[in-house]
Amino acid sequence: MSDHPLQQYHRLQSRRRFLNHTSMGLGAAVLGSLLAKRASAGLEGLPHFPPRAKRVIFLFMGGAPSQLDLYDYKPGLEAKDKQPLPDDVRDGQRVTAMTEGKEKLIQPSIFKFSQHGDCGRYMSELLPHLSTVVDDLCFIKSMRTEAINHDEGKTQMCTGSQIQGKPSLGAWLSYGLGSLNQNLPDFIVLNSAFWSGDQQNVQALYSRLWGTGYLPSKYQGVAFQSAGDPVLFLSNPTGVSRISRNKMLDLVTRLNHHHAADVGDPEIQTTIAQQEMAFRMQASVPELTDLRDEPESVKKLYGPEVEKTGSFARNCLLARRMAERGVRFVQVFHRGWDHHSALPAKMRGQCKDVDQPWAALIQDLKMRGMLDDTLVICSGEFGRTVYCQGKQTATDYGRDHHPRCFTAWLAGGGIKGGIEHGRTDEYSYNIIDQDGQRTTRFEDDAVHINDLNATILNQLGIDHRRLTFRAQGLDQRLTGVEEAHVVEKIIS
Amino acid sequence: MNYAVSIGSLKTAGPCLLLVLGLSMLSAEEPPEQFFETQIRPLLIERCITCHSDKEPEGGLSLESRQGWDKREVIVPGQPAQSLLISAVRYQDESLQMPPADSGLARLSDREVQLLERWIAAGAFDPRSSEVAIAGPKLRARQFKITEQDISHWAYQPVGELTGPQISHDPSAIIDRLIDDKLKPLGVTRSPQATPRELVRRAYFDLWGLPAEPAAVEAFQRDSSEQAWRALIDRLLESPHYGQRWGRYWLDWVRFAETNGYERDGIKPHAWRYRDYVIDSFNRDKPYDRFLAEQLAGDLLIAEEQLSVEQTPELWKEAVIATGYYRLHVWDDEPDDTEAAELDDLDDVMVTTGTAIMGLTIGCARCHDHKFDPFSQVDYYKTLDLFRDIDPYGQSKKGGGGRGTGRITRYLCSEKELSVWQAQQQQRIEALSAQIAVANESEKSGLQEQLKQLKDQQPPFDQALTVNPPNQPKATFVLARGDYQSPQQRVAVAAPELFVGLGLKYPVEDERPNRVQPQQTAAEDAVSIATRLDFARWLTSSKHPLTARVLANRIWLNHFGQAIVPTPDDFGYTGIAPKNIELLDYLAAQLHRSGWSIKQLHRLIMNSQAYRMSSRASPNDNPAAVNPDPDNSLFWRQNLRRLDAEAIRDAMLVYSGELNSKSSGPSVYSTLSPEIRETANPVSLSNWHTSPADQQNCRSVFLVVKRSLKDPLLESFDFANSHSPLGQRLITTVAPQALMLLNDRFVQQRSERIAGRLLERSAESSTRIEHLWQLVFQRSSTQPEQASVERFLWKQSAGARSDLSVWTSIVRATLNSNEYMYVD
Repeated sequence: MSDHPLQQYHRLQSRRRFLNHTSMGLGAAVLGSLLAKRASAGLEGLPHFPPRAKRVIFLFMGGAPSQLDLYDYKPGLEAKDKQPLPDDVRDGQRVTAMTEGKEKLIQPSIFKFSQHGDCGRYMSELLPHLSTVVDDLCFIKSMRTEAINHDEGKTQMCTGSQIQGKPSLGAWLSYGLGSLNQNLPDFIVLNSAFWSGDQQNVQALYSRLWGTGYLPSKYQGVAFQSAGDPVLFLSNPTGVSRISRNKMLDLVTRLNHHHAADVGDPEIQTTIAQQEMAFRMQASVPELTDLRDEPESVKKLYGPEVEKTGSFARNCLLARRMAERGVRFVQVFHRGWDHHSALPAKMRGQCKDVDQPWAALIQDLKMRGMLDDTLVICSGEFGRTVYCQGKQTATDYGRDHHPRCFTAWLAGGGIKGGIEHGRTDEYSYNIIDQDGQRTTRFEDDAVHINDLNATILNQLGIDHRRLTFRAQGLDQRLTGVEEAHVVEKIIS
Repeated sequence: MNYAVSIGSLKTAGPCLLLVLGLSMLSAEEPPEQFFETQIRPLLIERCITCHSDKEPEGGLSLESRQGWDKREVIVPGQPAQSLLISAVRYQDESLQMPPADSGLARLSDREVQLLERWIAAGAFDPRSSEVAIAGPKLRARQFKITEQDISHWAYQPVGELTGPQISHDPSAIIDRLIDDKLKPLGVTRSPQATPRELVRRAYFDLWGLPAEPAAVEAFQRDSSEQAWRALIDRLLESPHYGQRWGRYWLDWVRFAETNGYERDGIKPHAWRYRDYVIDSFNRDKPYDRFLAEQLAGDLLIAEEQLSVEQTPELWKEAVIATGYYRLHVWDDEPDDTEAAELDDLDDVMVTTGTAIMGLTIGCARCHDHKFDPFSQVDYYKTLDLFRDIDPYGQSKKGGGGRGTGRITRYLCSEKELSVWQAQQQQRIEALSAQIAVANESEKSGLQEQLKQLKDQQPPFDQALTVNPPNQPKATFVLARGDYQSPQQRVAVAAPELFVGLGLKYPVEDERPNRVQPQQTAAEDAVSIATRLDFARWLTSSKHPLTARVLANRIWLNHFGQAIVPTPDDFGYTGIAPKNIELLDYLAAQLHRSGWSIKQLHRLIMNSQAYRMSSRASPNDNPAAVNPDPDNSLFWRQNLRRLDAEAIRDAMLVYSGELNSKSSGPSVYSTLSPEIRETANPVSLSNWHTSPADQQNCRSVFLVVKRSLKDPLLESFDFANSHSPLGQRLITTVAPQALMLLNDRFVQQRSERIAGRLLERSAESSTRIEHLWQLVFQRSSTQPEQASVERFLWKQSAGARSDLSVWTSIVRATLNSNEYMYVD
């Protein structure tokens, strides 16, 4: 089967002659499906070992939520309220231009934390729903990145590198593993159309975050629209009915088959296969996005916002429906998490959008028995500082960007539930080892973005060192040239 | 490594090795095959291959094949003492002991070690070749050194002169002969000539990126003589459409865009002038050496040739605009660190220049010596030093917020004109101010408003994105790990060591006034002080092995859809070597001979029989060639090619009769559909100034190239990413493209327009079909095609068969067909 497509084509043609078929259309159709199958296959030899997860849902919180106000409980900070951050904690840390040279005063979270679940984990009062499923979640408190500004940070989180032009995680998965279904793209991106906490400071999203870099662009994420057609130009133009459109497609198909018979190039057959996929998407996507067949009880789980097109709640439900239909990788973006000022008010709004849908997604997957082989990840591009930025009052404060430590949570797909991984110091400023010493080493449970990516690939049965693509003179990989590690400790 | 030194470096193994070396000399007569098969193969199988196999090479090392150990360089044939393998099995180095002490496996016996040493000393004969393809070229040794292998790499050899008995009187026929030379041993012959219709379509799309006029197809079908063909090519090359097509390729190669990228993606002012400059240069067949010199050193050309806006306005303008080349890079307006960002910008220039012009990945040597190719980190910084006299794109900044640009534009007028205007303006301001001083209250506010406007007024001269006259250049240091905070030794401009070794230094020049003389050491006597102009001339010197080859390869690629060197941006070890270097060298040599005329090269290629072959590959067409060369890497046929993004869009405008005649000027912004606006980055949208509808029907090359937001139709058909140099666009075939052609508004509007033309033309469906087929496919419809369309019509209600909407659907079907999108 590793023949050149042209050789396959010739072999098929001779078989066709042998069987004395008279219709060229049949030969083309057989070949079309054969090539379509080829096109949807992944790399030879993948997965490298039996996967624990079949698919991934990545919930990306653009702007970088504060770990201090959501997940990383630091009860000792109240006693240090408005005290300067000790120099040895900061230790020459690069800060953004925004806080360079300004006084750095400690700001404890004003939100209450309490224990939840069998694991007894402390969770912020901002997350009452997520708190009910903590026993299914694994919190990595020791995430780290080098990026300090949003563009670089998001690019690194989505592609493993701060440098623009690298393939995204989803593109790598499509490239390596091929597709699980014939009617939908392998990699879908869902953008939330609105967010309640912060309308002003909108974080930009770029298609390169789900781009293919140097990989062939057929592995690109297909971004569903948060308004109008879910896929660009999915609907027929106004005034063109479905019936007349079908007749036209029939005409296109006929013209193409006449041409294919004449030209005899396998490339033409691939095009026909993709056109047919597009026609199928015209049916499969509306079916996917039509929530009428979804039971009320399920919709209720996600909360009232689920009824609004483009809401984060609706996107979480759509993500589950996509996972069900064999979409390998769904990335849901929610924006508005960049809280340099007025953090408490903005956080309340933001959490209203996401808390219930987060929990609902976990419960929903679990009820369907899909959590076992669906890996859910939730993270921002970096964390936020313990010291205040901007106005600091009893009820108001802001926080700056902080790459040295932040929290991500994972669920399902062979990841242990009810656990924490990694430690941060009393300020949630540095990652520390068992002995309380500052560290960035993997051996001390620090988790770089590359390590997270290596772990995600591992759960899908991929050895991250062996998923490579030759470009720019190197065997490129998602996890970069430095050594990356699978976080074995969080795998069940 | 000489004998004495290897003994001197011996530690514990000393006496032993001496003995072994003695032995190997004694047994020099022993056939190496026999020694390997009886002694070494069994030893490797028993003691090593369990862990170090081709399939699962522990630590990346396989001892199952010669390629396996060669790739990891653990054996230095002839030199056991230098071989890592021996050091490991001897436990000489604590960090690498084999088998590992904690593995429970027994260490090799002294006898086994001696056998291995003897084998290596005698040259490490190994007949085993890898079953598993070992990916990737060899990593370089840690200590940077130009090796014999480097010097003999195909791409660094002088461009070969054609040898052989008969040099044909027709230079194009030599291309055919060079191709046949490769095909003959495989028993393959070139495919027959394509039909006249296919040839005309191919020539138009190749040279213009536009479909052939039906009349031109018809004319060539009547007279398809050699003379008619050559006349056709000449005519196409004379049209401005030619530059609009081929200039765009150059823009891909140098990752042209009109915005900075990053979050705000700000506009690069007047970047379109650079685009026009490129198009115009192609149209005028500007010699490539001049074209490069203008872009790399236009400012220095002005000085050297004493160009001026008064005396030589055109030459002067071109030289100013061309250096916009240095301003095309991605630019961060809010970097963490402006000094690091400045070096990032220069790196972008280096990467692009190395890739686009020389096919070298020299950018890889920024943080360390190149891992594969013979370019050291010192070479990188020596080359970087060439560009230090260019003003930084951005201002340096400390503290919060974004930053502005530096001196990146200039007025296209003389200094004198500018100062005259400024002086007059100053007078006007002073006069008005004086008037305000004595004005009464009621007049005052109006006058103050006037004053404000006057002060905001820009000089009324055109501007260009450019480099400004040279600055005091900054000193360049080798930066450890590419980090500017870790400067090592200072370096000055010099050609990379490899080229110096090939006899290609930058020309020595008199001292430049502003330049601090670097201290030259004895080892650096090859160093010279050179300018960007010297560099440009160095690139196009007749001895340079890369520039002409790289260009010839790129041009061939766009005539065949497939390059001779399959990696047009990488001629190094990590690229793929050409299967027909004679062909490549012939084209490169012809470029030199013609004085770098690109149009001559088009003629040379297109007048060959090879160019005119059929692209068909069905079992009825040249079946004997398929198995020996399924990839067509030896060019036994032409390739079926999908139209690129621009041609797909432009062809629709041609068919609808709407293509306007824009051939220069500011870029055009197309109307974005609500779907795109809905989800586009608001910052990207904020400077998207949609152009009036009639202006939008221009050729695609005149549409704005915004890094964060591309025209959706172009983007979906694989338009260049515009972030990094791109020698060959990937052609992808994905479902969203089909949706785009089916449902996009632009396509819908063009289809309606074409349908309208059909309806005006005739009331007869058969005439309409014929007209449509002539328009879109430049041929008559066939019986089955007519039947298919008639069937479609028949399925409509009787009253609707003449409706615009029904005929729009038929047109749209043709625009969705593969025959529309592919060129034979």
